[in-house]
Formats: sequence, structure tokens, C-alpha cells
Amino acid sequence: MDYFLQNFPQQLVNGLELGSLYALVALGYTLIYGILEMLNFAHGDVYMVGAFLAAGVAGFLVHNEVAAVPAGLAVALMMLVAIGGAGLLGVGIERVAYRPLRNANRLAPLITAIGVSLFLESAVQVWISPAPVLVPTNALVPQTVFHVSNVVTPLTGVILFVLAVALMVALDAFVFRTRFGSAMRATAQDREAATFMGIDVDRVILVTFFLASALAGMGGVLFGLRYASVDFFMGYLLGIKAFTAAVIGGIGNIRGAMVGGLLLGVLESLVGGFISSQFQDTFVFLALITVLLIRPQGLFGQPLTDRA
Amino acid sequence: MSQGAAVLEIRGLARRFGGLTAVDGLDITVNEGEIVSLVGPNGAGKTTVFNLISGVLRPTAGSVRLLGRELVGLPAHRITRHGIARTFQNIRVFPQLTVRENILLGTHHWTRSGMLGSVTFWPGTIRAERAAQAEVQTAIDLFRERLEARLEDPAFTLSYANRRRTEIARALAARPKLLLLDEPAAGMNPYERIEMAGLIRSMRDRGLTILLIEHHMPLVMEISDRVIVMDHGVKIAEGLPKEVHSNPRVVEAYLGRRAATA
Amino acid sequence: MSAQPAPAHPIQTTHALKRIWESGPAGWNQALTRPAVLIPFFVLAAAVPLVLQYVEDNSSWIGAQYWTLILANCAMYACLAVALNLVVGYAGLLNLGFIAFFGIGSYAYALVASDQLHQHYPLWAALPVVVAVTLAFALLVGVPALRLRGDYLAIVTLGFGLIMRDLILDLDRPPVLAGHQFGPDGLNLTGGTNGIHQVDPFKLPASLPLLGPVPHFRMYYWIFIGFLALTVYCMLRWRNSRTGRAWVAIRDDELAARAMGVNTFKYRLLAFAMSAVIAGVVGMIDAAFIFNAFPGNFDVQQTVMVFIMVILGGLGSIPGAILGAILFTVPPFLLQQFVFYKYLVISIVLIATMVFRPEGLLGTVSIRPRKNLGGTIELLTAESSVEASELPAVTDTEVADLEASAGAIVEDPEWKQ
Repeated sequence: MDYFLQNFPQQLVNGLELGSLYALVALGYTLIYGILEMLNFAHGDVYMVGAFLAAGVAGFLVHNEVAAVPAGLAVALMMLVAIGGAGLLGVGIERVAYRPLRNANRLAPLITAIGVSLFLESAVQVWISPAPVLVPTNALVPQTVFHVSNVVTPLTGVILFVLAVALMVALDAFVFRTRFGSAMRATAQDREAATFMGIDVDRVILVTFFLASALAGMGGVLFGLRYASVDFFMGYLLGIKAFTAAVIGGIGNIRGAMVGGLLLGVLESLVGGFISSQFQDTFVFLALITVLLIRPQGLFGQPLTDRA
Repeated sequence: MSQGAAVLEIRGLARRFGGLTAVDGLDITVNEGEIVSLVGPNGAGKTTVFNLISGVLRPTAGSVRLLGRELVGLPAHRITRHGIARTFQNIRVFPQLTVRENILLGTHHWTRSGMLGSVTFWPGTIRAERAAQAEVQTAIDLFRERLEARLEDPAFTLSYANRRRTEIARALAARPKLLLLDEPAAGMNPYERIEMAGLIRSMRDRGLTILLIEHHMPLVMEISDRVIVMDHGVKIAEGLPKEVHSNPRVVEAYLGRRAATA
Repeated sequence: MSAQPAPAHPIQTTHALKRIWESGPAGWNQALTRPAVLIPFFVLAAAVPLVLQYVEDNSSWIGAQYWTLILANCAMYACLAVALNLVVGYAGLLNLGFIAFFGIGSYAYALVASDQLHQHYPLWAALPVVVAVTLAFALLVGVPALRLRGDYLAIVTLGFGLIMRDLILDLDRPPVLAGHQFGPDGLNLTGGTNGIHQVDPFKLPASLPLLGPVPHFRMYYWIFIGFLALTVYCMLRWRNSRTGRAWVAIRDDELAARAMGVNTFKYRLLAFAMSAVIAGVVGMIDAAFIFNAFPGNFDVQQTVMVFIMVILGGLGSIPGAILGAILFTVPPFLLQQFVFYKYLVISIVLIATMVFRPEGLLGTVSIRPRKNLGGTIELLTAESSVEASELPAVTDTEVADLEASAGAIVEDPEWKQ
């Protein structure tokens, strides 16, 4: 029990850090699912590509000793490239692989998405690197480590959490407080009716893919900064976990995905710390099955259009 | 007019969707050998009643009895086994199955044959398959020249009217005691509609009891033994076709208060 | 067939072939699944290694063994593709954890037929174990997951595949949960990353009557071909039976299937479990063939690989699944120098197939159009032009309907009397 009390705060902090990353990626699943009722399998790999883009920028700047670029600007540049690159990638995927199948039966775009996922993984593996790529994070971000009583967390972890939460709040405001956001919600509720109301559904879908993918790309940057290494397979398991988070929160529900992500991160961290690090993923998977069985609509089972 | 025993007895049937009450305390009795029509404006809750009888939806309250046996709470596939077959307002044939296979699906619940039986040519399985194929012939008797030539074609190649016919033949192959037809003549031309009226009658003559939803009033008037009018989830009139059509509440339900008083 | 007195006139034969060719994929499928085609196909396939051996013995070419191994690999994938076709093509269930059942089968056999647990079961005892273990796992995943919607099933089975892979990698040491160790210190169930080596081959006669001594690789090629023939036979029988019709009906329209008395959960579970068990048995044969069970057997890419075979061949088509297996196993052996690009090519072919020819090469099931037949409004707006031309001219939208029925009350002379 003492062991539990002593270590609980640390595991909680680790969990929140991890969970904010899940939440960021889960938002993309939920956005796209909300609009298209489609499970975008490739989403985790878009996150991976974002991480590689950021790693590429960081590597270029550091290895060429572009001393003139201050670290803060370098990080901003990483984020810009990753967000833009991942966002455009998402839009491109939608255009090439999903749009021809938009009116197809549910399984068709899902199978295509699996193909896209495998394509992105193999493309990065073949053309970039089959081995993990190091991110020179120590040259970019101060490697400060905070000690609060017996809880230890690096600055990059704090950045990860704070930026992720800020982005989630911004997205929430965008969806619920802007005109475009209400067009998105209308499309999510009834695509056909939205068309009749004069909403350019194709544009809504493109913007949704851009937003979702950009968030995933940002997640990739933050991961790279925090853990200093990226590999072509990193989006796979994370994608499944983020999807789990989206399901736990109620797929299609934006705030649900945020809460679901944080919950799942904490759960995973606690399981890893106190039960078994060996079977951590097994427990996450069991959580998914349990939620699907007991409450398939998720904890906050309301569609995108309803406020959580 | 037949006065057989009650086949279907619905008592106090209700179904709410959130705040909306789609069906509210409905009582319906259908006697053996009758053709009963359920009519009413759109949104009156007719199709919901069908969904409640056939187990697609669960009632909030009330009871549905088929030949005295309570059906509420049973899953849809069980209810079919007890002797109810239905068609759908928006035709639901299996597009990738041939017409023959579609109709064979109707025999699914009363034939027994398993996976082991079909790979070992087990006599029981062979017999079941033969009985099912024979039933297809019986079921398409009513549509002979219309469906016979198309038997081996996948259902998605059929015309609209033929899909309807396939769907009805499929329901017949299920050997139901009670047949629920949801707008059987919708989307048909006048000639096909007359044909459909004859068809429904000949199904009754084969001993079926039929409850149908239909919008086309002349058809309803012509074939029904009794008509039940629904509006806003409740029954507002019931009786012989002649009695019902002169009921002011019915006209009001269809056209609104002003038209009725004008 | 053989009782026919005179064969058809040659001109008529070409006519018949031409007719089949012009009848499109549905006709090709029908033609290719006739016993008169399948039996010679399997007999010829079984004879190939003997022909290769004959050529090798009588020329300077060597490669009989190499080519038989390639073909054995091909036959193995064909079995998996046919089994996956059952669950995806017939029943419409997206089982992304499919390959895990292959892995489970291989490990189940390896555990009871190697020094790992010091068990050496003969085939007749190991087979029921393998079947029971894969069936148990299939039920464990299937019973909860098959109650869910299709895309949830996909993610649950995908997660299952990943978890199984992790478990296989981690169970080379006793599991520790909340500080408690389960099992003795030296417990090594799965061999971790190394897998299980020196798995027993089946105890089979080393030589057959008429054929003389049969080398290991050729024996297993025949086992795979025999198992493929058995699987194909079962699939064809099932497809044309009450069970197979129920599967396809559920895939086409679940609600209508239920309304016809089909217990949809039961039939989904049957399809899911049956395909899992077939994959498990293939895994067992593979473990005995290569003397190993690897964690690589669980690789997700393998699932995608089998998927592309089924989809390129054509969902629901057995000849298509076999064709797909041939296309994706033989060329990679010939193009060994490009092996690095294998999955890149596979993923591109998969996407291109889905976008340009979703029904595959031999498929009849177009996965693309949403085949929600009928429906008043939907029929008029969403159906193809061919269908629309078949429609009666009546515009049968709900609004028109209301007007018609309301009008009928007032205007119809019969109604007014």
C-alpha cells in the first residue's frame, strides 16, 4: 500500500502525458468518424509521418549547424512542417483513396484504409529508414527535469501535455463556435440534408481531414520531442490505442475523445506501474472490449453534434 | 367475411423514442383468414407497428400475441419461427443472392441442415434441401411467368416490381400464419396494382391471414375485410371499408381540421 | 461425365468457351467451380512436383525442390485465402486478426509436439488439440465482438492479433501480475522472439506405393494441396446450402435476414470460428513442415497479405482466392531482389483494386455500390440509370404518396360513393 501511495502521483503524471497524446490522435478518429462514419485506419500512420517530418526538419537544422536559428524557432518550424505536411497528406489520402468509395458499403473504405496504412508504413520503411530515427531533441529544447516532491517529469513532457490540451480546447472552440464548425456538425448529422442547406460537403470533408491529420502530425512532433526517437511502426499500436480512447469517449464525440484519451493514458500507466508492464497492452485491449460490451456508445455516447 | 379465431391480438402496444410517442396504447385483432389494412397518414406509426410485431423494435409497453403465444421480448428470428413473415416498405431482397436463393431464405427457419450435413451428403440434409426447393416452386406459383425466367438471376438485376414479388415470394416460403405486407403496391403502375390486389386475395384463399399497410385507397377499399386507421400512434377508426371512409375523424386526420369542416 | 458417348464437337466446344468468356465474372466463377474443372486442376497440381522431378532427372536443370517449396508456400496461402474468403467474402466480417489464428494453430501444435513442454503428440492427438485451442480463441474474441458493428469488429480483431503477438513474445518467462509471479521460474512457454524450434514433423511413411520414397517437401506440398482441395470442397458445398445462403443474406441485409428467421449471431459465429479453425490447422501443417513456430506468424502484414489475395481475386470467389494466392506468392520468389518493396507493392495493389475494380478479378460481389435496394426516395436518387429506367413513371416519394392517398379519399369516385 505504501508502495502504491508513493508511486501513484508519478504514474498519474506519466499517464496524463501519455493520455494527452492519445487524446490528440483520438480527436482525428472521432472527427473523421463523425463526418464520414468511417474508421480511418491510416490515421495512426499520418501521425507517424508527422513525427518523421519533424524529425527530418530537426535533423536538418541541427546537423547543418544552422546556429542562426534559435531553438524556439526551430521547434516552431518543426511543428509548422509537420502540421502542414500531415494535414496535406490526410487531404491527399481522402482525395485519392477514400472519395471514390464514399458511397460504398461500410467495409470498402475500411479495407482501402488498411491499404493506405500499410502503404505509409512501407513507404517510410523503404524510402526513409527501416530503423528508428533519433530526434536531436537535446539541441532544441532545454532538458530541464522538474521535481515536485517525489514526482519527476521533463520539460518536454509538460510541453506535450500543455500544447495537447491547448489544441484540444482550440479545436473544441472551432467546432462549436465558428460558422465552419457548425457546417461540420450539420454534415455529421445528415450529409444529404447539409447538401440541401447549401453546405459544400466536399470542402467540409477536406477540411475535416486536414484538421484531423494536422492534429495527428502535431502529436507526432510532441512525441518526437518527448521521446527523442521515431520509427515507421510507431503509429500502429498508438493508432489502435487512440481509436480505443475515441470509442471509450463515444466515437464521434469530440470532448469524449479528449476525456477518453486521458483516461486510457492513466489506465495504461497505472496498469503498467502496479499490475504488469508486461501485459500493459493486453489490459488496454481488455478495456476496449469491456467498454464495447457494456456501453458500446462510449462513456459520453452522443454524436459530434451534441455537446458533451 | 371470415370469422375465424383471432390470429393476432395486440393489446396496449406502445413505443416511445425519447420524447416522441410513435405508438400509443394500440389494440388490434386480426382473425384467421382476414385481410386487414392499416392505413393512416405518414408518421402515423404504421411501420413502427410492423416493426414491433416482427421484433425489429421492442415495445415500451403492451403485448403482441400470435395464436395466444406472447411474442414481446422474443428476438426477431424467433418471431419468424412462430409464424410471422413480413415484407418491407423499402424492399429488402438480398441483392447478391439469386431470386431462387432469396426465396430459399424463406425456408430457412423451418428446414434443418447443418454444415456437417451438407459436406457429407447426409440424407436428412438432402431431404431438407429438396423440401426447400419444392417450396420455391410453390411460392412462385402465384408469380409464375413473372419470376420463373429470372430464378437464377441475382436480385439486384431485377426490376422494382419483380423485387417486390421476390420479397413476397420469400415471405410466402416462410410458411407464415400471419403475413405482414408493408405497402405492397407502392411504386407500381395501375396495371401492376390490380395484379397485386388479385395476388393478395389469392394468398388469403390459400389460408393466409394478412395485415397490410397501404396508401393507395382504392386498393385498400377493394381487398380489405376490415380497415384500421391510425393517426399519431393511436387508432382513430376501425371497421368495414365502407364504414371507415365516411368517418369524419379519418378525413380530418388525412387533410387536417380545416378540410374536414369545410 | 465419363459416360457421355461422344465428346462435343470441337466447334461447339469453342462456342461454349466463348460463351463462358462473354458471360463475365459470374460465368467464369461458375465454370471454374465445376467438378469437371476442379478435379483435373487438383490432380494436375498434385502432379507438378513429379513433373519437376522428371525434368530435373532428365536435364541439367536443378530446381525441383526449390520450385516445390514455392508451390507449397503458394498452396498454404491459397488455403488461408479460401478460409479468409469464408469470413470476409461470404459472411462480410472484417476479421483483421485472421492471421493470429494461423499463429495460434502453429504454436498449439509446437507446444504439444516439441521439446518445449516435452510433449510429442502424434498427429491424431495433436489435431484435436489444435482445433480445440483455435476454436477456444475464436470464441473468446468472436462471442463478444460479433455482437458489434462491422468496423468495431475490425478494430477488436486487429487488437486481438496484436495482443496475441505481444503475448507470444512475452511468455518466454512466467507472467508477473501485481508483484505475483505465476508459474515456476524457468517457465518458458513460447520461446519469446526465438519461437519454438525442432517441432516434430508428422509421422508419415517415408515412401508411398507406386511413388517410392517421398521427400519431406513434396509430402507437405501434397498435404497442403489435399487440405486445399478439402477446404474448397467444403466451401462450395456450404455456399450452396442453407448455411451459406444465410451467410450471404446476413452480409447483404442483416435486418431482412433476421426477419426471415436467421439467427444472425449464430451464423456469424459459425463463419468466424470455422475460418479460424481452418487457419489454425494450416498453421499446424506449416509448423510441422518447417519444424518451427515463429512470432512472425502473427505479423499484421501477413493478414493484409491474405486480404489482398482475397480482394484482388474477388470477394466471394474461390477460384479468385486461389488466383490471388498464386499472384502474391510466386512472383515474389522470382523477384527476390525487390523483396524490400514487397509490402509497398501489395499496399498499392490493394488500394488500386479497391478504387478501380472493387469486385476483384473474378469476383461477383461488388463491394462498392451500396446495395440498399428499393426504398422510395433512395431508389429514385441513388440507383444506377439502368435501374431507374426500369422504374414505373410514378414518382413515389413520401410527399407524393401522402398527396395521392389524401387525394384518393376526396376525389376517388369509389371512395366517395
